[in-house]
Amino acid sequence: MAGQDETIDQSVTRAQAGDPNAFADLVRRTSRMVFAAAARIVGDAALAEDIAQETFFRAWRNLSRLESPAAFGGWVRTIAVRLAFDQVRDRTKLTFFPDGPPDRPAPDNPERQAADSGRRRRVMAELSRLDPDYAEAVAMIDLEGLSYEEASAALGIGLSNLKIRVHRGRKILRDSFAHQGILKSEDA
Amino acid sequence: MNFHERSEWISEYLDRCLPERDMHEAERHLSSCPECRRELAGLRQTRDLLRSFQPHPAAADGLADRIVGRIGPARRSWRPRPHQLALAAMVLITAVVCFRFLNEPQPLPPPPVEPESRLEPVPPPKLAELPRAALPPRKEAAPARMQARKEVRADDRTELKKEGPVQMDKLEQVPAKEVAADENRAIDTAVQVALSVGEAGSEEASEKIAMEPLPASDIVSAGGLELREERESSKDEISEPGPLSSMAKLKNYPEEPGPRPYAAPAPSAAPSPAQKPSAAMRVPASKSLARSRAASESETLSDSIAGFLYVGYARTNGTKIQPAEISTDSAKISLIVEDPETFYIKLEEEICAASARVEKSSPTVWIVTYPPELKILSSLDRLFERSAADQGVRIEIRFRPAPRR
Repeated sequence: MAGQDETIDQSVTRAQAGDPNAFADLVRRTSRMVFAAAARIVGDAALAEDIAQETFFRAWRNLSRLESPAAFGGWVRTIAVRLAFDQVRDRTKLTFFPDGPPDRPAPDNPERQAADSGRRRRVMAELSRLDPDYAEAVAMIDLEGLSYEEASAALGIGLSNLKIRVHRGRKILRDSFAHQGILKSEDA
Repeated sequence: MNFHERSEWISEYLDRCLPERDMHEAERHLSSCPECRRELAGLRQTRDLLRSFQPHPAAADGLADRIVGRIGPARRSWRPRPHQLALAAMVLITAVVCFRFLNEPQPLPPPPVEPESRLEPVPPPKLAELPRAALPPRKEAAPARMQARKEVRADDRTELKKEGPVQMDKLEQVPAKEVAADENRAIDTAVQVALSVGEAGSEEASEKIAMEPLPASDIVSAGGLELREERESSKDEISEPGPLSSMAKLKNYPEEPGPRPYAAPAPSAAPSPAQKPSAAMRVPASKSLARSRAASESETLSDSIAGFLYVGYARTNGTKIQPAEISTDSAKISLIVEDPETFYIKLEEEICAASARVEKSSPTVWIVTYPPELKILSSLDRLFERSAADQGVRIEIRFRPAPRR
């Protein structure tokens, strides 16, 4: 049984042994984080939830490949981020919702959200075209607001490697934003 | 620190991640280096833009429970067992014969009806040449038609035997040619099933679908499927009151002992009296048939699924359907395809269950596929195209596995 005192490592180990309750416990612990990671990129709650669902579906199927149980959180976050970028690139890949689910609440500020979503779409489109290593690093630092230490652990890479990825990713984005007219050319 | 040899320090400075000593050194350098200041300004703009978006929308309550609930049935990996493969092979053989029968170019006399049989007369195949009013409904199951056809052929053979050996030879050769022709036709033509939930099911709409160009070679080569279903509004055509029970051929498949992919959800409540029972699924079995017969003449959905199996997907399949989320005005159907390269869609139970319980005349239906590599080819408006009278929604689905990464 999945107790509250059980660590994620223990839950992962039991889930890898085939315990569905342990996996359900993992979902409960990490689903909001996964949702947030996806929602930051796609900017849509319904889509983010579907991405979260797909993320855990894949995680379950590939759980045996996870070598370090402690890395589960970062692992599923990375899956979610990649899926979210896939969605930005091609919205038809995962699913489609022609009218939107009926039971989801309307946005608090629809006008602002509409304006925001147009720009977000352009920005995320550029971000999704980056090398995935760079895109994930930039997304975790600049979209999700993770610290370098947190992002480093989530991605399973060293701190210096992460810093290089973030910096190079930002540089490429800066150029592409300027090229697309999303940002003015640097005028410092 | 050599500031121009390695520029990563600018992002670290921006994020204030440099050690204290290096921060001061960087500030001194920036004050004297316009190039690095421009670099810093550009990166700051970029970072600030990324951080400027509204906080992400909050997840609705019960997120984890919903995810667990949806993923739960998929946790057991399903693989076909030998007896299931044998059953699939049997369905395949049935499908071949069905196709052959459906595409039969020669008119046949009506089959003899046995007194104890509930078989209905088999209509002549050249239906397009007949007035629609003269077309009898085709309610009999495919195996029953096959039986009737066997009897007809036996009669033919008897007749021909009387006329001499030469005609007997011809008789033996004709079916072989037909089979070859029909096989080619079946492979060249993507099976399509038309689906119209609600009362629309208009012939015009169906004709429109049928006449739309179908990239059959593309679909077939890539493993595609086009599904269409038509629900006829005539009460006379309604033959089944609830979730499809005419899927006799496929019904056995998931009910074999062993890990059944998904159980169709038992309706939580009986359909309201105002609800019409689920109409018999009547669909054109091929594009050519759809053209010639339009909406008035069609096959059952099970036939089409079987036909789809015939178009190259009978090896194995891991298609699973999660219990549909059905409300009074919408239905959401989730497909989980374990092997995107070899699958077929078993939508009939779910769609029937959904359409029987959706009260709204224009229900919203979502189809969710997993994994995402299973790309939906059709554009959104083609997938969900409201009928002209807005009395129903026509669903057209094409699936094709994406190239392996």
